Amino acid sequence: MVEDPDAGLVEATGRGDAEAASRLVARHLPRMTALARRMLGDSAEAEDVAQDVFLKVWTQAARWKPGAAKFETWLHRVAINACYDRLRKKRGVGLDEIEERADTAPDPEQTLGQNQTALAVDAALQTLPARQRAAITLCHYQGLTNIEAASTLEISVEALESLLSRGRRALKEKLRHLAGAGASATRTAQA
Amino acid sequence: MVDRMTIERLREILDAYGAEPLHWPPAERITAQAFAARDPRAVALVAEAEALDRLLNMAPVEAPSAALAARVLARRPKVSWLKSLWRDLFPGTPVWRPALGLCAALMLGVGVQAAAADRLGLNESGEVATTTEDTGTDIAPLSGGETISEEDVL
Repeated sequence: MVEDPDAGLVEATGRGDAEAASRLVARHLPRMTALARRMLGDSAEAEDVAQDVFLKVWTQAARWKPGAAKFETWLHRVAINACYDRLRKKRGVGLDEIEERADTAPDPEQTLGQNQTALAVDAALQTLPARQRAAITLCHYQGLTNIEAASTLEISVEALESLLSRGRRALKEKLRHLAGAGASATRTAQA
Repeated sequence: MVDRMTIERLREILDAYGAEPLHWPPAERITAQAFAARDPRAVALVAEAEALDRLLNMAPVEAPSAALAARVLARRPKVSWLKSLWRDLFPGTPVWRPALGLCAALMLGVGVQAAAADRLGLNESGEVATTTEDTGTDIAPLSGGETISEEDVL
């Protein structure tokens, strides 16, 4: 039996409790929007995905059976699948072939401050194949454990590790020219 | 819980999950942390993973607007008070189950009433039949066919 901190809220939402629904939105909407934003690289599309995810929550809540999987893991799976659907429609190819966008990371001369570094990192993320980006988003940004992330992506833990390693290696290569920026940002934050 | 760690496995963990132990596989976390703390070869590997983590942490993330939260909540289907009451009384139970039970109980009740009426010789208005024509059988009514008035009782 999986211990699920959301079980009570989901059950109450299924009974039509408006207060529980509001709390569920407050707890998960920021994370779902952030996930979709990192997957799609577009804020407006991320908001559409977040709305679709919660529409599914509203229709499923009354039928939710606690114990099988954590609600949050299910929520991540719904969001990732919604993102995959949008990416497929946009590019019309399989997820593994999607080399998302041309590498738009600015060169060192253009990298003037923290803002540009942030944009460069975001752009580099968008150049990763969708599955690698999903793995990094779930583990690094969403803080899911390896087992939760593998379950969300419906792959083995070994396959997840392989996606993560390849993704991080590619990012390291793309962001090599910014390595100093990360260190100086940390020093600034510490000061 | 894994109780053995090697430099090769630690490298794999850092390559995949980065330098933050909270992101490491829970089953290997404690062992990997202890190994990283005592093995001098781990220092460079951890530093390399930390550098990439710092950059990744700089990627922007915007908080959703209040308008988005309002739109999300507005798309919640309205639940009628009857349905809400039903879900309070029978949480997680599909509507058809208690409905089926209720129908079965009703049909049983109607059947029992019909059988009893037939046995007691009641006519359509629930009165005791006074003639054999009323009952449609040769069985005499239990009261003997006489009407007892209120005055007779008092």
